[in-house]
Amino acid sequence: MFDEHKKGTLLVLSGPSGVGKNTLINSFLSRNPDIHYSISATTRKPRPQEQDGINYYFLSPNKFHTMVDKGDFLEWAEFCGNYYGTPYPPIEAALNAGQDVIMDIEIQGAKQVKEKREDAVLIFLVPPSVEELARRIRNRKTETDVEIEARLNKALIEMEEGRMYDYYLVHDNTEQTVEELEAIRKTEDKRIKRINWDFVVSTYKGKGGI
Amino acid sequence: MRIQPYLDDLEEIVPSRYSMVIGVSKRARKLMEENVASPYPGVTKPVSVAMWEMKENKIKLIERPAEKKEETPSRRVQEFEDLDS
Repeated sequence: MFDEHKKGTLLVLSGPSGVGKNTLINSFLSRNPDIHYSISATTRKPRPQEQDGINYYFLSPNKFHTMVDKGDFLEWAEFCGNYYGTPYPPIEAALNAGQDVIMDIEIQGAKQVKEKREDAVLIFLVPPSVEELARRIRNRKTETDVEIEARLNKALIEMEEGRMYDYYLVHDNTEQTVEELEAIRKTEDKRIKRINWDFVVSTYKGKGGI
Repeated sequence: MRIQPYLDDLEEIVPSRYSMVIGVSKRARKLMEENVASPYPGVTKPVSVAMWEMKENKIKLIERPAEKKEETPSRRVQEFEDLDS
């Protein structure tokens, strides 16, 4: 499984807020424990069931910007008044160790990842419909009506950004979407650019009398 | 328990972010290959375990000076010594 002659695959998941990235990722991770999940850093306040260092690193704004200055982030972005960023060292370590990584980030962040890691696989998650998206955001009961309105308007603008991604998934039924995500991972794991091809060739040398 | 230690804590222990990444990566690979169970509650991923081990000085980075004959810019080879086994 951890073929040492292969670099890990970096799966980057983005999508309009409220499309259910967390639901999808939690289900995906529970079925695929061998993948490393990237914990993001944020300056936003924790939601009720969220814990520091488990769901997010909850940082003060100036702590966050110190990390920005030190280049500790693979990407970072401001979203709805808060900052979000992806600490790079754990991801680099996992990929170097041949382990696949999945991260869920804001859309502006995905551009930065693509620039720094052209081998990253960008997956855009879309809701089955805008009505469904509104229902999911309202269901979360973490936003006021005004905030929901802002998120929905933002979602429409964000849909445009999907253009630069590699794959898109419609998140209607979670289990089915998880299976599609697993299929993308399996396929991308076969990409030769992540494999030490010299090693693969060497395994054929001196065999069968050639 | 947090899944990973804060990067600042690690950056104090190791000479550079580069060596931290290489050290954690090599340790994580070993943990995976030897299917080592995580001694830390709630911490399951090999990279996270390796980071905690580094933070608690359970593993130490040994940087061998680059041999003279290397033509490429002297990239010091980082190995690690597994203190607790």
